[in-house]
Amino acid sequence: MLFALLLFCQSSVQSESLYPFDRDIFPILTKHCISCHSGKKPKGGLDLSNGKSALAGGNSGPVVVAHQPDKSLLLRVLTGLEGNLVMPPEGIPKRDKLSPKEIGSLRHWILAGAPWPGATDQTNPGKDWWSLRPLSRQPTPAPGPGSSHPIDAFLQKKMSSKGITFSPEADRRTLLRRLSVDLTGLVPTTKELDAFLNDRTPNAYETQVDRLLSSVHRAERMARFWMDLVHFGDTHGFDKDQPRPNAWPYRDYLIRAFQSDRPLDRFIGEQIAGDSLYPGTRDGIEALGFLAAGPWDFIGHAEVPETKLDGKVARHLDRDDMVGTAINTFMGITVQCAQCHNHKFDPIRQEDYYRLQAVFAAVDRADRTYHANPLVEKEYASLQKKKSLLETQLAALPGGARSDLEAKIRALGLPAPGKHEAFGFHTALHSNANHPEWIMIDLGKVTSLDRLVLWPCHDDFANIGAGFGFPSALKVYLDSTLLFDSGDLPNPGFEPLIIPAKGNKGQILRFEIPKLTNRQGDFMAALAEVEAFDLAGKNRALRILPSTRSTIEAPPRWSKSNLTDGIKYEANPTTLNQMRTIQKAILQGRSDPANSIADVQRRNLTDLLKETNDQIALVPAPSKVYAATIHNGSGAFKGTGAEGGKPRQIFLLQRGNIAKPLTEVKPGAIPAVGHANADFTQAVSDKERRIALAQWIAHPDNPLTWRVFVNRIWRLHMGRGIVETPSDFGKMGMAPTHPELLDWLAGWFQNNRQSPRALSRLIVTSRAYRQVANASQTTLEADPANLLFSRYRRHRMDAETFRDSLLLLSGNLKPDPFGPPFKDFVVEKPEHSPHYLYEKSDPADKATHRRAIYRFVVRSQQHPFLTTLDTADPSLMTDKRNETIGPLQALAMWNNPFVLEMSRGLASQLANDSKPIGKTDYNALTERLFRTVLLRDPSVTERSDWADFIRRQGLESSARVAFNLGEFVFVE
Amino acid sequence: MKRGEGNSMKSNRRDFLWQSGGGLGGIALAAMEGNKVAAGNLLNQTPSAQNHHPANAKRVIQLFMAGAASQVDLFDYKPELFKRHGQPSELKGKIEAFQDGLGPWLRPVWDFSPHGQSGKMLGSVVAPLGKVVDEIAFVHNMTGKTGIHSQATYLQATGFQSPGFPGMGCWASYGLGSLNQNLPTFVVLPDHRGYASNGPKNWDNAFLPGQHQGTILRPGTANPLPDLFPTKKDISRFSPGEKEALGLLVRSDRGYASNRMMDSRMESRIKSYELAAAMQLAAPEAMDLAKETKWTQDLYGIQPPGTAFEKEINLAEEADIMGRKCLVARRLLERGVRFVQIWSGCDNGFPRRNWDSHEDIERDHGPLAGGMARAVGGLLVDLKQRGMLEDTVVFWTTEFGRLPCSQGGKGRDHNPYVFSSWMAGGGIKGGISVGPSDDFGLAPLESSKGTQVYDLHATILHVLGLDHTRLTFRSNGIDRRLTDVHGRVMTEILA
Repeated sequence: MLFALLLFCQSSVQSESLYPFDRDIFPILTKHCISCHSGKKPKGGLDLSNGKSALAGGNSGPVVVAHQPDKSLLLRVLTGLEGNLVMPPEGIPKRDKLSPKEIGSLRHWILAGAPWPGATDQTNPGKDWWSLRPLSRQPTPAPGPGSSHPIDAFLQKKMSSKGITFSPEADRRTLLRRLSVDLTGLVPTTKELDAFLNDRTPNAYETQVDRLLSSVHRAERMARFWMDLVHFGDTHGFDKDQPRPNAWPYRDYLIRAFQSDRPLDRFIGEQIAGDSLYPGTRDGIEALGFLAAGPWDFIGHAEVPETKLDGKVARHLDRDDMVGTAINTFMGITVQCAQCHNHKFDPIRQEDYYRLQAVFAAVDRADRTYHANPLVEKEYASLQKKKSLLETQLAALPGGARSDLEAKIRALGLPAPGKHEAFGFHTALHSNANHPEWIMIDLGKVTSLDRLVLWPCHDDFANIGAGFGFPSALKVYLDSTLLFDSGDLPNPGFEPLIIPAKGNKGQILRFEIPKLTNRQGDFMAALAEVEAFDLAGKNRALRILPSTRSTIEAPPRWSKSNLTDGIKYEANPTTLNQMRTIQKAILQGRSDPANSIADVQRRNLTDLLKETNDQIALVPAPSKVYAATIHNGSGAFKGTGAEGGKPRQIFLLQRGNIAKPLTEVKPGAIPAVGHANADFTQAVSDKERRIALAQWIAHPDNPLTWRVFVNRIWRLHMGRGIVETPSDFGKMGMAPTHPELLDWLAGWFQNNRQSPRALSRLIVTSRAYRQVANASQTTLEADPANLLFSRYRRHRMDAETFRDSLLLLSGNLKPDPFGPPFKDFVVEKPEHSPHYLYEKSDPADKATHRRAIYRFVVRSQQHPFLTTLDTADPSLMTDKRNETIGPLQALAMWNNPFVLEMSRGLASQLANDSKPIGKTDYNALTERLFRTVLLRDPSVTERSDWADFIRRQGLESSARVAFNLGEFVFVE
Repeated sequence: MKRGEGNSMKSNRRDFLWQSGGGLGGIALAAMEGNKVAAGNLLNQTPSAQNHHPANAKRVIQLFMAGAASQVDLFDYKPELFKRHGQPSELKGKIEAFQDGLGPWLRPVWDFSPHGQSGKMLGSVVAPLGKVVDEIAFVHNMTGKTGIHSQATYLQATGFQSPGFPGMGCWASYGLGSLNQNLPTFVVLPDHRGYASNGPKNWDNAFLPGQHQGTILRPGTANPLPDLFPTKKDISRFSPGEKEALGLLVRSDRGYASNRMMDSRMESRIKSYELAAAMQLAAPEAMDLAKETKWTQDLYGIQPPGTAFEKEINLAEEADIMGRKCLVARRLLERGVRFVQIWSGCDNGFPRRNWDSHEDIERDHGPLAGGMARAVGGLLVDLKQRGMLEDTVVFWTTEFGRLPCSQGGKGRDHNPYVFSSWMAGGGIKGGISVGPSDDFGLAPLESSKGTQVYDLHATILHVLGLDHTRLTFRSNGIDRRLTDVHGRVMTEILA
């Protein structure tokens, strides 16, 4: 193997003799040129973002003359040889000028003939990179020799070109051990092996596959894999590494999702926007633990307010983690690299990165309450609603206590009982107020009108409140008759604007808006409803689709059809002015004659409220999950709750510096991925933003999502990805070894209910999966690094498999799934930075004998034993585990109290099996030990060697040795 | 290898191998780079990387003062503060204090006097460093990014503000490998009273292979190295037959390996158990301070075992604590440990046992700094007399500094704008102070020219023979470096 890898390296060195364009040249262009020379209207007509357009040149003709740098305009403008035309132009800060070294690199590149890999491809930026090309719909290949499995046909094709074929199929013992560890993270028992060995049916293997795939242990295994990716932990990390007692419901969600074989698009939707896409479901809430899984700086949030720079830094890092988690996990691109500058290798602009931050600008990480049972959740929600309505009504009664007045006045902003929030029409955003907009309604025939009623927008979202975007000036015409010319128009709040029409006749109603309204620096207008009443009092505009000059169509919230849908906000019977009168009255100490009536109403409402509160008390206490949420906090950690969940403003930061905000950015994603609109400007609310991102990621034409997911599952089973950089499908990642297979798998997966279980089944039933790990000399020479999948990849058990298998074999495993985590440490000094003391935990404590996935995962102090076996660092998104070997690991496996406790357990299991063995029957004990741990009989030599050892050192010591055996620790 | 066959032409050879084959890649890598025993390299027992350029030093002791040590009371002499003591402070620029503690100017608690040939002014509390001050290069314009302990500690320890990045010692281990056969490459001696901000995350290997993680040693305890021996409960049952058990394991594993000749991990695993056994002998010996003379122990400020100390924080105890760590560090270096990280100061509980003196500089800094100076002064003298200082870098640092004004009383609030660090030993020019701070110790004299942790890290890697821009590891698609995308080798402090 050593020899083999050396050969491989030499080949890899050769490949570096290709001109390192992606490494040396493209980053220079990205850094200095592409921000102007790309997009729909590139400066000077020159688009440097892709090879074809760059080499074609711009308005001044070609900019690169191969082999002739001095004749290449590109270099001439950079070095001042073109007179006034100097690049980068004046006004660009000095540090953005090209360094002599960078100019030298460009010169050499042109001298070398200016090779631009993939330059012949499409003109869309990034499309000359394989992973951004649309999924190619690969036909299922014809069955190859010796296997009818499509995967094998793809693999065989490539192997044939090297003159080899698959290695032989492994024996059943090897296969079952492989399958069990791979699918469930547990070694098989002798009983399970016996069942397989004795199964003479032709589909005995598939029977085992299906048994294991349907086991909850398989869902646990998959969930653990996913928790690696999203860097899940049960503490915050950083200083004051406080526990997150409610992180675990997300882990349970993952297990349930894999157990019920959740399709990928829903799996994505739940984890990014489950609260909105799947409201009222438990999964829709718990899945949001995804966005909160990573570390969180307790002090930076809870002790430093957002007004301070340090507080801003902490919140910036928080969103950075959410963006990274979402995009890295699902799309396998390193978007975080675009934080300070455009991505140096991939077509991700710095602006795209901040647009993604804007998607998460409203949420924080905190506990969310919910009811796991959807029926209870529904009942609870309706009772809560009833309660708040009663409180509103109570508050609206005159003569309440003074301290309630503010609340009452605020409550007036809520819709009247039983009334809708009013969604409306929203013009495009403009940079100044004097951008005329208009609305036109064709009444269908000439009509005499009595009056027009214009309803302001109002909803309770984000404290948009009453009168949002009401035009600052208005002219209304009925045909050519001017009905109304407002001059400067005050915001009417929640009162409608009534315009008398005095019986004028006409067919076309035209509302001109000469002056728009300021909305945080942009200008726009919005209206909820337009009514046109005829002399008989009938609204003739109802459900007539208006024409408008511009509109933001983001239904249901914004759409021009909302203007005439008949749904409008209606205020409480008591108006704000009335309330102010009451306030005044109370302040003046006058009694109001209405009070006696109000007193009766108050008694009734109070009774009802008490009744409701009693009912609420009967509802089971809600659950909590640590997840992304609109946080309604106090102190330094306020969140956006007090602002009604209004997303924070996000700015493009100069070189990623929080102290240097440039322009504000709107939510969005990465346009260069190219499959769907990546501009989410119209998504105003938090929910709309996250829905937009979820749908953009899960879009069936997203070229990355599907490739990335099938590659991850492939890697899980095959030990090496088709793309061996599973979280980087960009230019710094590796290219696929089998691109057609990758696309075929993606298509197959889409066509098979996006079922992760079916995908796993497809892979593990291939002949490729069932090969032996030892290859023939010919195979080794032809495929030294096993890039062709010409044999199975032997691997060491991962940390959790080793631990859980020891529990299983020693008879200690408590297999109960789900629920709060166990703690295999003792906490001391919890008040500040808790001390998590693993060495004080008793390994015989039954509470700790559950599977490792149910462990309470501490970030600051990782599990010492599992860490020596390369468990995932919960502070870091882990797409593949390391596999190291070393003396500290050997010490841990040899001496750790857990291993020794399990050795004791195994020893007593062996002695007290259903057929007890005499303590001195060393041969029989040896056989039982071998069968249990290694699933085979000892050889004659082994039997005498081990029996002798057991006789002198005891069964416990022999169990310890067995758990340390290479044959146990490696899976092949 | 053509493109499209699983190779990335951009990833360097080293990363690619680790990524492609895990341990296997490591073996190939080690062999490729011209060393003798592949398995030994996997275990990090001999240097696995070639230096990028000739090295001046081959090992490092890092001293980390957790909680933020006050530069103006120890090393950065500011006469203005003596003059203006008690006057309202006028802090220039936009200063945000962590606890909003912007009181009047506060004079240094200790008087300053000149030391050594260089005449370096030191606060009297650290006067024991005076005898070695001509070995030291001070940097007085260190500048951080945040006044939050956690992020700042990460930044100084790992080069990044968030968890998930390898400690500096991990990078040294990854770049240079080990100099020994039976001890870890990178050893950490935490404050035995508790971990500083972030705990072991400051020295975790993160994405680097596991053998590069910092290993905690706890001298004087039954298991000074994790799982070195079975615990008390297990030892009588499992230890007596241990040698025989190991024999059985190795015999069995050789049988298993014989059918898998092409897979050198088999041999590596066998070797790892042999090394583990060797460690059981070597580690306790390395930490046995009884082997040192009374004179040496005294040099470090070590008190006889069993000495009773006062309950309140006090100089003698702090000197003893720090002295023991420094002496263990020297013994570890002698035995080929590459990187020792010593922490002074535990978590932020009360009473304070760290440098975060919001309430009273004299109360905390007095014993901590005095004890540190005694121990570290002894360490430098000892290293020098043994000829070890020539190729050892001693590196003193903290997560940020403290403000030149009081917080209203006798303490100082956080100062991330400027603080001091220092270095001594192999490849470093002694007796100099570079990068001045302003007249008050509030900010760098030239605000745009503050020294950042990247520069210190780049400089230390440089004297170790490593180019900080080339010491990379691919993680999640990014070529990670200790110095992120920054760093300047500080030629002005190179010998």
